[in-house]
Order: sequence, then C-alpha cells, then structure tokens
Amino acid sequence: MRGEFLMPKNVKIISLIFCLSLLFFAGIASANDIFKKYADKDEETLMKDLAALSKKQLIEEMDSLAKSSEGTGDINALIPFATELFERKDEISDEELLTYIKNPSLSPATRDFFVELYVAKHEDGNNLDEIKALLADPEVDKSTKTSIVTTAHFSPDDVGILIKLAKSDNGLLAFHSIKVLNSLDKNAANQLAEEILSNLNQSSKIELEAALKSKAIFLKTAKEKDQNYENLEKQFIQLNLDILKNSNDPELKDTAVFALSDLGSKNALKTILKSEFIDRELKVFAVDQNFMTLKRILENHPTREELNLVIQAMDILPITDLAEPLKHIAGKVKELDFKKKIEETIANIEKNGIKGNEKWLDHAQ
Amino acid sequence: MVGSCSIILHGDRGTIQEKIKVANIRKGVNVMKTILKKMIFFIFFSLFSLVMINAHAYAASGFQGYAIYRDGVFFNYTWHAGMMDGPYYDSYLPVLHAPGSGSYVKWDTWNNFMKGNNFKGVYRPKRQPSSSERDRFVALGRKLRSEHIPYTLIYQVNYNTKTSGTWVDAEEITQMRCDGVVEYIYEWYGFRVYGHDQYWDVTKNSAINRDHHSLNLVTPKSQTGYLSKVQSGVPKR
Repeated sequence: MRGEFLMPKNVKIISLIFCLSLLFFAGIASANDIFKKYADKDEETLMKDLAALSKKQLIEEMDSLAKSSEGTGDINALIPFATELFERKDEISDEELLTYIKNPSLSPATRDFFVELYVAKHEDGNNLDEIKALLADPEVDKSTKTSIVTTAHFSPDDVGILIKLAKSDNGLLAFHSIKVLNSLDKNAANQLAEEILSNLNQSSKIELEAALKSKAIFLKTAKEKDQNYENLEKQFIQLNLDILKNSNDPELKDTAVFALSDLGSKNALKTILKSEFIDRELKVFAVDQNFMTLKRILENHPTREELNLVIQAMDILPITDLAEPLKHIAGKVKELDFKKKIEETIANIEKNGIKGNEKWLDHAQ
Repeated sequence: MVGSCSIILHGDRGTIQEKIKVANIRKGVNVMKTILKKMIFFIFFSLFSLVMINAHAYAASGFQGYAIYRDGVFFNYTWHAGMMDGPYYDSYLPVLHAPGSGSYVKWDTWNNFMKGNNFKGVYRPKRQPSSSERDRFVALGRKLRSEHIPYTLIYQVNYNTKTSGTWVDAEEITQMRCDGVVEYIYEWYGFRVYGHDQYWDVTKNSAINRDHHSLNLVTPKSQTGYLSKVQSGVPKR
C-alpha cells in the first residue's frame, strides 16, 4: 500500500520537467539580467562596474554568462570578467580555486578559467602538486583534466600519471597527455605511439594523430643516433602514405602530412611534393617549413633529381633564399634545356619569391 | 562551306522553288552562325575557366588568408574573429576559428561563425601580403587546426615559457583565443598586428610578450584597429 502515498509516475515526470524548466528559465533570466545591466555601457564604465562587484558576485555573473554563451561562440563576453578576476587573483586562495575547479555546477568555461588562474598564480611552475593531484581524482571530469594537462607545467616526476591518462582515454585527454610527454620523455611517448600504431584499426583518429606527431618527433631526434634510421624513416613515410591513401578523415590526413614535414628530410619532402593525395596548401607548408633543407641540398653538389625537387618546390612556394645558390648551379649546367628550366625558376623566385622564415630553424635539427 | 553558301545566297534570280531553297539555306546558315557563336563562347569560357583554375591552383585566391570579424558578443563589447581558409563565404568550411570553451581551433561553416550576428568586415595586415604569403597563412592555419588547441580567456596565445623554444611553434601552443588565431598566424610571418614596438610578436617566447597580448589589453574588436580593412561586406565571389 506504499503506492498510495507516492505520486503517480506521470505526475512525477511532469513535476520534474516543471522544476527543470524553472531552473533553466531562471538561468536565462539571470543571464538576461546581466545583459540588461551592462547594456550600452562603454568599456571604461563596464570595467568600473565590474570592479565595484564583490568577488562572489563577479564569479556568479561570469558563470551565468558562461552558461548562456555555451555553444554560441560568444565566450569572448567573459573577457571583461576574466580581466577583473585576474586582477584580483591574489585575493582568491588556492583552496578556493580548487573548489571552483571541482564544482560540477559551474560551467566548463568557468572551471577552465579557474584552472588557468591557478596556473597563472604559480607561473614559476612550483606548487602545482595540488592541481595536478586532480588528474588522479575520479570525481573530476575529463574536460577539466584535459584543461589541467594543457595548462599546467609538468616535470619528469609526472610521466607516470600522463601515461596513465593517455591509456585511459582515446580522445583529447589522451592527445594532450601524449603531447606533453613528447617534451618530457620522448621514449615513453614513442612507446605509446608504437602501441597505438600497431593497432591502427582499434585506435581512435585522435590517438592516431597524437601517435604520428610523437613518432615524427622521436625519429627527428633519432636521426643522428640510430644506425637504422633510414629504414625507420622509410617505414614511417610508407605508414603516412597508407593513411593518406586509405583514410577518409581530413584531420588525420593533414596530421600525416605534417608528421612527414616535421621529419625535415629530403625523402619526406619528396614524398609530399610527389603525392597526388596531398592538397596544395599542405605542400606550401612543407616547402615553407623545410626551405633550409632545400637550401642545404643546393649547397651540397645536388644531383639532377635533387635539383628537380628544388624546382618543383619553388614552383609551389618561391623562396628568395634559394635564388643565389640556384644561380651558382645554373652557371655550371651545360645542358641547355635544363639550364633554361633552372633560369625560369630563378626568374619566378625573383618575381614572386618571399624570404624564408627563420623561425622554423628554432626546432630544426 | 560558309563561302559556298554565300555564293548561292547572292544569286536572287530564278524560280520560286529556287527562292524557297535559298531561303532554307539562309535559315540553315543563321542556325549555323548561332551554333558557331555558341561554340566560340564555349571555347572562350573554357579557356577563361582554365586560366582561373590554374590561378587558383598556384596561389591563394579570393579572400584566403584574410581575417574576418562579426559582432554580437556582449552588446558589442567585443567581436568574434576568424580567418578565411576557403576563398569565399560559400566555400566548403571556409572559416578557421577558435569557437570557445569545450571546442578547439577548427574549420567551420559560415553560419557557425556568424551565429546570426552582423558581419563587421574582412581585414588584412597593414603591410599588404602577397598571394604567396597568404598561401602561408592558410597553410599555418591548417597546422593549428591539427593541434586541437583549446580556448583560453586570458591569453591570445598561451604556452609554457619554460619548455618552448625561442619562437613558439604551433605544437607548443597550449591554448588560444579567437583573436590569437589571427595574431599568431600573421606575426609568425612577421606581419605585425597589435603591440608595443618591443613586444608585438606574440610568437616570440617571452612572458612579457605573452602577457602583453592578454585579457582586455587587446580584444577581437580592438585588434581590427591594427589591421587594414579590405571590405565591409561578406567575402562573396
């Protein structure tokens, strides 16, 4: 006879919908109130008004706006609130920030902001243990963990937790964990990449993207040390070519090209320029990133095949740094047709060429 | 053929049958002339299209590599920024942008960029980029897309100042704001947008440079003041 004291199922559902609607419209009304409050105010007045709010009011208004901005692409509305809270970051304790970060009733945008604020308060990289401890907390959601992984500073002591995160996920959390590992422990990152690439059909496309990036970074550093490098490079080039031919995913295909380009080798560049499966923009990127590889080819007694590679590259993106070495070579070429081809390339560089971007050399081997 | 017909046409002496025959021939010639005109137009159009396709194949076209803005963010306190990846607004996924929390730098449809707001214009760096340079902007944008870079409210471009190289490459970026996408791409190639003479390059690894491009020191709306307007209208073909 318990049922007599309970509401019928349909009444329960209707009540639940009513309560949820009330909450939803209360949220909207709250965001609308904030919009009304700040409507038609110039930046200076708006910032003055925000400065007059208490910390609690600021956070509530920011979160309310964040919730109303979800999915609208208008998240920039939070910039003035973020500016004011950033100014007051020393008034917010670490404990308080950790509470906000763990609070599921706050919007993801608000929680992400508090992760950033926490890390900004510890810009020197010290005392981040408490926020990093959230990575092992099952109560904290993946999105917040991803935000911590992308924002916090890590040390070799954190390799274990990053490997664990990479293995526990097949989305963005895994992607960014592997990316951090690339700079902390290349061998560990490479091992994860090997595992992912050996299970091509079972791995997600984001895992594959992370693995291709790691593998490229690992190979680039192995170039000087590993005697088997040529073979490893050949296998990696073939793997990327297979992905380019067989995958339907545009982001994965792009990553395969960027991984090849990152190798910075003549063979990888040749593969990119020759491939019919690669868009022109990506070929432009590869030539741009590897202009110094091309220049070195010209300065080291190039073969005819190598010269053809440079000519093809300059047809895609003419770079002025290569004009002089090409002129030097053109003076030595006796075969008239080929000489003419080189001279046409020089003329194109002189007419349409741009300076090579030396920022790329920062990471070149 | 046309010459032989014209000889007959000029002979207007003869029987009615001959006149009908001449009239039919004249009609036939007119049809042929129309066909010939259509053929010439078709050949000319094909050649023109071929030239246009080739131009597209060898350099940035339309509005590729230009920055775009729309209003509608918090009573126009600020705007939303993006970059044209495709040549025109009706190209396939023409916009590269950082849409906000929970998403990352990605290609998107025109409608997803606009979200029903007003378009505020197409912009380029103050120094006019060549077609090859715009090619580079598009290519680097594509690289940013492959890095799954999440959104940030604080910095235009965020990175770890301790582990990044002298120049912050795309792989080292940890977070980006929508105006950071434009600022980063242009400044990686030396096209200055916002900033003090010493700290303008957001791609240079320095806490001062990074902080100089943060919070409301620069916003998508104020960023346009450091660029040149190409046009106010939507990037149509």
